[in-house]
Amino acid sequence: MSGVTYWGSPMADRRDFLKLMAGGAAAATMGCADPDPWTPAAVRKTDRSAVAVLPAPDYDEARLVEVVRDGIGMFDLDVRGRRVVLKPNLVEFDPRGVINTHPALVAATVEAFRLEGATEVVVAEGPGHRRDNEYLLEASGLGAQLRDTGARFVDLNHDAVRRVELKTSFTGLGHLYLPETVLDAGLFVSMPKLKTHHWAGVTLSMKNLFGIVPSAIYGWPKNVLHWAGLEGSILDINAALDVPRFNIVDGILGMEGNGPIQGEAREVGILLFGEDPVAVDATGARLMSIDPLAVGYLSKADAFLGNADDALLEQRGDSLESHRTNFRVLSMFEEMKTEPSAEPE
Amino acid sequence: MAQTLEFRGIMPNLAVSHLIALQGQDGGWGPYPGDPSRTEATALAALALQRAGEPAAGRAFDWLRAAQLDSGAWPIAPVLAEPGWVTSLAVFALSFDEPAGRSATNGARWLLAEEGSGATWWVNLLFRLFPQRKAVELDTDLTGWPWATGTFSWVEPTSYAMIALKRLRGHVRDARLEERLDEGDRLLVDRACVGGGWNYGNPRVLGEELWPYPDTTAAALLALADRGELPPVAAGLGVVPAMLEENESILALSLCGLAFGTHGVDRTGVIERLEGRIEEWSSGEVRALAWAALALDERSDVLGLSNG
Repeated sequence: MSGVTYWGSPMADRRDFLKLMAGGAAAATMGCADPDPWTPAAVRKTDRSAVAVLPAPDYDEARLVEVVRDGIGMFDLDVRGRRVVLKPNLVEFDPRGVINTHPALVAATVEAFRLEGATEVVVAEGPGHRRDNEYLLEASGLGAQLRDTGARFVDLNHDAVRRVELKTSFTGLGHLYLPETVLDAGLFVSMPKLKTHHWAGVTLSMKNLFGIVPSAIYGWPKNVLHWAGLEGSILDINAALDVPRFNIVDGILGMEGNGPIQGEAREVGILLFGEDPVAVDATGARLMSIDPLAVGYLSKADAFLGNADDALLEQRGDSLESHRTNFRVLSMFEEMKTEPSAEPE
Repeated sequence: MAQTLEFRGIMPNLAVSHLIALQGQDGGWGPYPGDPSRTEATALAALALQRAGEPAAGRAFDWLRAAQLDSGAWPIAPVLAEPGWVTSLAVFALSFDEPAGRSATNGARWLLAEEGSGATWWVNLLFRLFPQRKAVELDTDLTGWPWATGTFSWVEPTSYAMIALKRLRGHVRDARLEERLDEGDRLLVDRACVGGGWNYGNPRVLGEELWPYPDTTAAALLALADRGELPPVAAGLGVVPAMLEENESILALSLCGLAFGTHGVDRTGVIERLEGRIEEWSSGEVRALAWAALALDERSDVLGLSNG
């Protein structure tokens, strides 16, 4: 097991650890090039990746259906006859906060994919902190939206699972049991909130996949993953998920500061779309004025899983710069910023 | 301390009827109606039916015994075949069927050997050198029970292990028993939220207080049923009403009702709300339904924890 995150920032800890060991064990390995921690089957990086930023000023559901359809239409997606699985972020609930993907956006996306011809649109999540799904669904408003749309909710923490051998070895876990609802999806759509994250720097479509790892096996709050290392787990899970994917980021209201639970709302007024999760997350980071290549897992993902380098991104919809917002971050992440936070925490 | 609740003529255990109707051909239950049988739902349903005096409990206990691994542990689901935290719930359920039987006692011995891990050596070294990096304020030397073998101890698996082992006091002769229970008590005290109650097990992160949840608070209160003198017990019981103001899930009402009953607190209002919720129950989680069946039992200490 390579790290423990519950006692501090894993990246910061690793930096400190490397400083501590400089000249010692680290030096002893100099000159011995480590093999890449991924197999050829894990490589999904293409020559270029497209992302789209579309304006969405509020959570009016009818308007969001149109924005989502516009966003989907900018990519070569054909969902006719396919089962689409939407995976929003529903990790916790705080009536004062903006923790979760907004239910109106989830409902609008259900409707949008139905209009695009999907045979079924399922909403699936394995909440990370709480085990009381009835409460989470009702308090967050997602339960009411699901009833209105008639969409089925799948509790990924307790779904039937299949063993998936990992194509990468960032954690050394070797395999994961993953939910059949996700593995059998015709299209899997990660729908995170645009947020800072107090261990990883940012949490977007890649980190959102922690919610597909069944807590009934791996514990709450996804304990095995945190124990094995947050960054490595993000990379291992994303490389392991070999299904057609799409990503829609709720950037209408994001979260800055001490995310992903206790930060403050920050208005950005956009939805972010794309097939390449690395490209989408890199763009999300830039929208928050964070350098994606300074985010450990995005920098590593850029080497094999997708494109974080803006020179390799094709920007569709609005310009990124027209919506870029200076998010506050915890002081330990200030060095990741492309401009200083107005009021660092 | 045990009290008998005066029910108001409503069939006290509609939840039991639902459970019987949902029992699988194999005698077990899955997490949701129609799912393949798994250990957590089956253990809780078996317990609920046993306490209700329902013969269907027998097939459920048979399922549990058949699913037990050679190590004494239970897997999350038979297809996984790896020991899991659900062992606590299986042992707890079997403690009502055959407490001195091999199945329960072997499970208890596995539990006694199962320990959460603390911080790794280099993390401890880092915190000595860089104390500002210590983002949470936990006593990482305390050992409880983890969700997954080899990882950290958390409130809920620790609580379940403790109620199982406290139930089997007198049936398991093992020098580690009292020592581990004592350390479990101390771990729960350490993990209590600042204003009372428990969440999954982090009272503070980066200096900011985190809030408690009803279900985990109730689980910890059940585990500390025989430790009413500890200040976090009164504090936990004290925050339950406020939590239930904004949460009336079947799981929250059921577990809090059981915690109140076990600690001799008036549970009438909680149970009345639960009765209403069960009447409208359709296809929620089976484990919540099983906890509800237990909470709706007229015996306030239906879990047999008040005397340790």
